[in-house]
Amino acid sequence: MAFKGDTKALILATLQAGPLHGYEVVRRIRETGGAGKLSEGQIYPYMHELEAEGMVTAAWQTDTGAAPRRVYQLTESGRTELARHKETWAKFVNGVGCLLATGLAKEPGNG
Amino acid sequence: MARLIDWYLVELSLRLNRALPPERVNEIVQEADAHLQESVKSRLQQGGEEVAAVEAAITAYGKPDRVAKGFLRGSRLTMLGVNPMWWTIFGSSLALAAWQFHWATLGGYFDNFGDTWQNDVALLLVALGVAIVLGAARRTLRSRRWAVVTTLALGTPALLLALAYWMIPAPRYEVYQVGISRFHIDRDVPIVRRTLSRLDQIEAYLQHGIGAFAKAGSSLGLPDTYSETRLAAQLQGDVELPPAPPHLGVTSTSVRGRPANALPRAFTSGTDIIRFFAGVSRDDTIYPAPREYGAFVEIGGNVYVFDRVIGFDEAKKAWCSFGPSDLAQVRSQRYNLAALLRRVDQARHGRLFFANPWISTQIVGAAILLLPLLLLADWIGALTARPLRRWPGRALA
Repeated sequence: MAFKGDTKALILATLQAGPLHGYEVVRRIRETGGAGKLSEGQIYPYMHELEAEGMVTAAWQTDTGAAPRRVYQLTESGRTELARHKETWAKFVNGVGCLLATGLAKEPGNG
Repeated sequence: MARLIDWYLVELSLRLNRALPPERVNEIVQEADAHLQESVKSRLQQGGEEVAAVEAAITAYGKPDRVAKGFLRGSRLTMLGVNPMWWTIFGSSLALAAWQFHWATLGGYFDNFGDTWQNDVALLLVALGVAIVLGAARRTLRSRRWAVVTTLALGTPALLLALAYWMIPAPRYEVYQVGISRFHIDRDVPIVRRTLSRLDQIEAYLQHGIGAFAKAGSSLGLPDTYSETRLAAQLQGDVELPPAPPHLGVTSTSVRGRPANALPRAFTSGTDIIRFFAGVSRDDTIYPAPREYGAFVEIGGNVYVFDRVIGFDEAKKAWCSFGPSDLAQVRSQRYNLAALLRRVDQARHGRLFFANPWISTQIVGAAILLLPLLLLADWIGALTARPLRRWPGRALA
């Protein structure tokens, strides 16, 4: 399912706002709790796979004065794939919402 | 702080080096370095000591083994361009099938060969299969034990079925009389018939010989074919003698009381007999006699039923002691070969499979023996691919 347990979808979603370096991507994903039991280092292989698939591009940034950092950015393919994940997620959320609403309506005391 | 992170990065690169190109390893390690630096900086900004921050950053990044595994999974490592999983399956299948090589030989007769080059080839192929499994695990730093188990679990019944089709077995397992390949019927059935014909001769010779020696009080009472005295006596001149009975073979233990020299497989003339028995006097009388160790029949080769002994008393003793049991053995082998020919006939008329408990036991037994061997190779391959040092984890401080 999109986003839940799908590390690649989470990476794409994290990058939709703009380019980010690897640490920042990992930090935001960890904050959502969506990476499950994966450690920070275990998220990087997924980013590299997305790069190999053409969903993201990556380049070393060396002009910040700090240590070089690898910055990731969505490509058009990545945006398309992200849109597909969003659609799937929206369907899921709507479906669960309907189920929950139905359940709430039938509970005693809810008329 | 730099030392600890460098230590981590070295451990990570060691786990990647064997499997990934150097430039890729450098990129991964540099990225890990950048991440760890950022992580430590972030933790220090929240307050805390440097060493604790480094330890926490490294722990959060993950053990080098696990991080490396993720990169190796994504790298699609191959062995000679082929997925190592297929190599594991191939190696396991090769070891299993090679063990049965001496049954599956295209040579035709499913002979157990004894100490022959075919068995050496079988052992080499088994070793090759084991080495391939070890190499596949080592290449990708991971065990593929389930591929090994699955291959043997599926391969064993497949091999049983294949040999049940391929091989037309003799009903009873007799040494050197195991069966015929379905694909060599036309070539090998005439050989079986020739052996049967020889067995008929030997049975008749044994039967008459048992009776003759039982009745005879000395060599004078024996028919000519049971004594070679006259052959030896006539060689005082240069007379060429008629060939010895062709169905009489000789074994390496044939000469009792005399050292055995280089042994011809069958005597074709009286001069051969004299030449063979070095030190035998021309006054000695030589008798064919049933073997102490039983009749030994080889399809397509020689039939070893008789020894040669010197002295009437010893010959009579051998005929009376071993004759009846050798006769029974020859009859049993003749029955087995005749039954084999009936099965060949069934195969010609459409029967597809022939069960063979002896072969089936061998195949299943081989699979049971090979399983721990292959699993051990797989485990050693995965283990030796990693650096020998264990990541100390919490011992950083």
